[in-house]
Order: sequence, then structure tokens, then C-alpha cells
Amino acid sequence: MPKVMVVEDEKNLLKLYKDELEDDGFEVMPVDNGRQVLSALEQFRPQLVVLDIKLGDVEGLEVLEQIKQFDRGLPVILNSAYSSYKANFSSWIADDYIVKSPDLTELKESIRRHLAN
Amino acid sequence: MQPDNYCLYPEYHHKSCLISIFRNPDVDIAGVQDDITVCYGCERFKRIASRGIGRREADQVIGDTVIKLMQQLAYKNDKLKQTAAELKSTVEQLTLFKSIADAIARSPSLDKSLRIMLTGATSGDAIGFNRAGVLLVNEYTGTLEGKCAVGPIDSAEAQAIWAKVSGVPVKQLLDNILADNMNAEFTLESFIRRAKIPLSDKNNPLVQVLVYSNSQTLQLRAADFVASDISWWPNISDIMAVPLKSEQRVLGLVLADNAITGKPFTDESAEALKSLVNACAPGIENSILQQELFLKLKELERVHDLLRANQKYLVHHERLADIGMLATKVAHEFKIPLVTIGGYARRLKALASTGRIDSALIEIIISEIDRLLTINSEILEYSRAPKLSLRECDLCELLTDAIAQMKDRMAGMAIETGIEFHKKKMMIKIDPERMRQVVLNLVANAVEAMKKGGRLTIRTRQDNDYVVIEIQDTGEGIAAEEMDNLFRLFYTTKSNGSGLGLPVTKKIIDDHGGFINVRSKKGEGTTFYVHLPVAESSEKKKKDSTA
Repeated sequence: MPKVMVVEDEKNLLKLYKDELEDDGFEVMPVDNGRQVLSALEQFRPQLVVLDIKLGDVEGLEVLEQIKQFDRGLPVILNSAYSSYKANFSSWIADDYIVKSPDLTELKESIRRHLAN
Repeated sequence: MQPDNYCLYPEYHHKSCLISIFRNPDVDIAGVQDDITVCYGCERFKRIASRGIGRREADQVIGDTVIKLMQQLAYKNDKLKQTAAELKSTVEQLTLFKSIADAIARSPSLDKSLRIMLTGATSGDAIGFNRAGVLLVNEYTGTLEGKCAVGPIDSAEAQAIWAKVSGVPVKQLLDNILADNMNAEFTLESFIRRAKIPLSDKNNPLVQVLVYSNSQTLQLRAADFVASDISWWPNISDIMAVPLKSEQRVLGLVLADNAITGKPFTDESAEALKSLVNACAPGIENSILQQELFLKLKELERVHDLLRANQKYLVHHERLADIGMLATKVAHEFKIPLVTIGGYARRLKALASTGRIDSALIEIIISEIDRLLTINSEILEYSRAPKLSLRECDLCELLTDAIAQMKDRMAGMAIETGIEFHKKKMMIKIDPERMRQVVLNLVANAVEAMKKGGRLTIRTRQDNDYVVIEIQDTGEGIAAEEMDNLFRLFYTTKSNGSGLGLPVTKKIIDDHGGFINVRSKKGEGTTFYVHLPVAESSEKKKKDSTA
């Protein structure tokens, strides 16, 4: 079972991601707090991270860097409520940028695509 | 006294000189102070008196002398009468000028003060010039400007005007002016008001009077004005001009003439005009100062109104900008709950097809919808039109109620509450529901800042036209960099804050015509100051009750 870590501080949304991804056959590690990301990485050793990021959220960007420092090859999909800043985020070290939507199809496809690589 | 040297009738020396008239050298006014004395030292008298036959001659001489003496007495009597009449008229004139100056002191406006002075110059029982006018220095424009004139422009108008005022005592005329019964404005006045003479025009005879005359009355001829525009003084002939000066400043110039009757100027009329103008100058200066003060006050009022209008505009504009930002922020704020609800709804739909329905998912949807509704109502509160249900309230009662309402929330927290109310009952016109919300918001913030305990103090006081509510805590305080953002929409440092509490608080206070400010020090605590204008009605009542 592919292991996916989801970092999201909105607890209800985190539960939705967990339920949906588990139904799709992923093993999901939900993390609701940026500070726990490193220990969770060590412990869980995911094959992909879905990371919630807010505009101007220094903490979120730091977490992204920590993940990449931990494992440069680990794919990170940024998941944000803001679509207008997609261009800015894409050029960064993240592998993909998915705008939050009630329809998780796009996110799931991106996860599958990056895991296949 | 040396009688021989001063004998006024030396012709008697060769006849006889029993009685003669001598001038008293100590006083030097002709014809009044002559002394009458017997010329004992006169040789002729001695000679006549020593001879028997000389007696008839002596009787003749005495008779002549007595006649001369009687004539002299009659002459002196006339002189005295004349002097008394002159004195009486001087006293009358001074009394009149004083009553004119008094009328100016009572005059409520500069226009009336000037009219009163000119009425003094033209009235028959005062100085009696045909016409008079006044020009005042305008220090701002550097010009001498025509202000007021009394009298006719020509003989046709003179008949009409003089028929109306003839026989009316000057005091009555002054009272009429003071009582607003000024008759119609003189045509001459509409003429003189056109006069605007630059003070820099040193060739203008009037400017010269102002600069060089040193308070003396000067007579100007029509020919003096050849190079200057004098169309504002119709039918110009000779004019009398006297500067209007106070101790401190040159106020202007008074003109007078006899253009209609052609009566020549006399020294007396010149002197009287000068006295009148000097007597009126202090009162006129007061009127000018009063008018300047009034204009400055008006200007101040205008600036004040402008500021108020601008403030209203700015507040409105700020609100519009806020509403623009609000729309963006709302979209963002709503996004996460909507994504969550949408996600779960889709999930439920998928689950429904398999027959599995998890009620926990529905709970999540409901809680997210509640969250949306909370944000929604706060936004509505913020953007609603400032419609207040104002009524007179006892501020202390409202605060006491609000604090009681917060007691539950403070239960179990180590928070002491102190109340320091203004000693006088404070009635204020507010929307009590909204103001309660303000107090609750601020008290809730204070309580939140004192999680580890502290002291909450609520004070009221009066500051000029405002009632001030102070809500002070000894909590964690606000960092300097956060202070600027405190009232910004959606700005929050709390994990569960909507960022709408303080903006809504501020808006309610704004809607009441008040303002809020805050003082805080990190680690020491925060005080919010709510300023609310004292309700007009209660202020008015207060005035009425003291009146």
C-alpha cells in the first residue's frame, strides 16, 4: 500500500482526505501541525506528502524545505485554498500545486502520477 | 502793574485821566481782562484837581470817562455772553459726540457703527455737513475700501432725504440706526462701496492724507483728484478728509463735504469733524475687531464643517475600501468550510450508493455550516448600514449588566474585577444592544488576554463633549507591530479568532459618532478607550435646566 502523509491544520478537511485516500487504497498518515512533520517523516517514511500551504505562511514554506532536506526525492504536492498564487508556488521546489476543491479527483490523480514516477 | 505804561486811553492824558482802563499784563486775552482803575499818577489829573475852575472841566472828563466805561462794560458783557454761548455749544457738541461714541459702543455691527459716526457728521444739530463717507483699510488686500456713506448724491435726492430727517433730533436718528430702523441704504453708499484704492498708490490724495496728515483734517479740492479715480464720490467739490486712527492702528479715512449747498468749510466745522472722528475711533476699532473675530469664527466654523464632512467621507471611503477587501476575504474565509462541506457531500453521495451512511460525516457538514453562518453574521454586522435604535440610557447600568453577563465566562479564572464609575450619573443616547456588544467584545478580549489571571478595571469619565469608557486589563498586552492592524478586518492572532471582533466594535462606535483608541504594553496589559459623544438632547436639557 503506497504511504501518503497529509499535512493539514483544518481537522475536518484532514479527516476527509484521510477517509477518501484510504478508500482509494492508500495508507494515510494525517498530520495537523507543521511542527510534527519531521518526526512523522522519520516514523512513517511516506512515499509522498500532501502539504497544506497558506499565502505568506512562513511556517508552511519552512516545512516544505524541511521535507526536501529530509529527502530530496520525496514528492511534495502543495495543497492550497488560493489559486491565484499557483504560478509562484510552482516554480519552487514543490512537485505539484493543487488548489483545494471539494472534488478530490485532481489531487488523487496527481498523487497517483507522482507515485508512478 | 505799571498803569502809566498800559493806559489804553492816552488821549485823556492831555485832558484829564481820572479813570482809565488798563490792560493787565499778566493775562493775554484781548478785551476781557482789562482792568479799570483811577489814574492817580497822571499829571493832568493832579493839575486839574488843584484848580477851582478846573472842576467843570474835570466833571466833563469824568462824564466822558463814565460813558466810555459804560460802553466798555457793555462790550465786555457782549463778549462774555458770546463766550458763554460758545462754551455752551462746545459742551453740547462734546455731549453729543459722547452720546455718538456711546451709541457706537452699543452697536452690534461695524456697519451700524460707521453709520452712526457719519450721522453725527451730517446731522443738522451735530456738525451739519451735507454728506459724509468712510473708507477703511483692508490689511489683507492692501487697499482703502469704501464702506459707508450718508447723504444725497445730488440736490434732487437731497430734497427727498432732508425732508425726511429735518427736525428729527440726532439722538432719535442714532436710536433708529441701533434699532435696525436704518431706512433704505443711501445711493451714495452704493457708490462709495465701489472705492478700492491701493495703499501703494502714493499719488492718491486720500492715501496721502492717510500717510502724512497725522490726524489733522485736510481740505482737498476736486482738482487734487485729476489723476485719481473718484467716480465713487459723485458731484465732487471740495472735501474735508480726516484719518480714522486708533492708538494702535490706522483704521481708515472719513470724508465730508457740502457739495449740495456749497456752504464753505469753517475752522469750527473742521475742528468738530476731527473731534467727532477721534471720539468715535476707539468704538469703531472695537467694531472692526469684533467683525474680524466674527469672520475668523465663521472661518473656523467652516473649516470645522469641512473637516467633519471630510471625516465622514473618509470614514465612508474607508468602509468602501474595507468592503472591497471584505469580499476577497470572505471568499477566502468561506473557501475551507465550503471545500470541506462539498467534499463530505460528495463522499456521502458515493457512500449512499453503497448503502453506508456515516452520521459523523453529517455532523461535520453541520459544524462547517455553523462556522459559515457565524462568519456570515459577523460580516453582515460589519457591513450593515449604520442604523441605530438610539435612546437615552444610563451608561453605568449598561456596563454593570454587561459585566454581570461576563461573570460566567470568568468563572474559575483568577480575574479580579474593579469598577470605577464617574460620580455623576451618565445619561447617554446610544443603541443599548449594540453598545452592549461593544462592551462584551472588549471585556471578552481582556479576559482572553488574562488567561493566567489579572485585574479587569472598567472606568467611566467625562472628557469635554465625550463620555469615555475605559476597559483595562493586566494581561499579556499587544506587541507594537500588531497595534496598527488591531482594527483591520480579518486580522487575528488568535487560533480561533475570526478577525472581525474589533472591526465590528470600532464600526459600532463610529456609527455612534465616537471613536476608540488603545494603549498597550507587551507583558503589562492593554486599555481600550471608547469615546462616545454626549447626546445632544441630554446636553440641551442640561443647558435648559441651568438656564
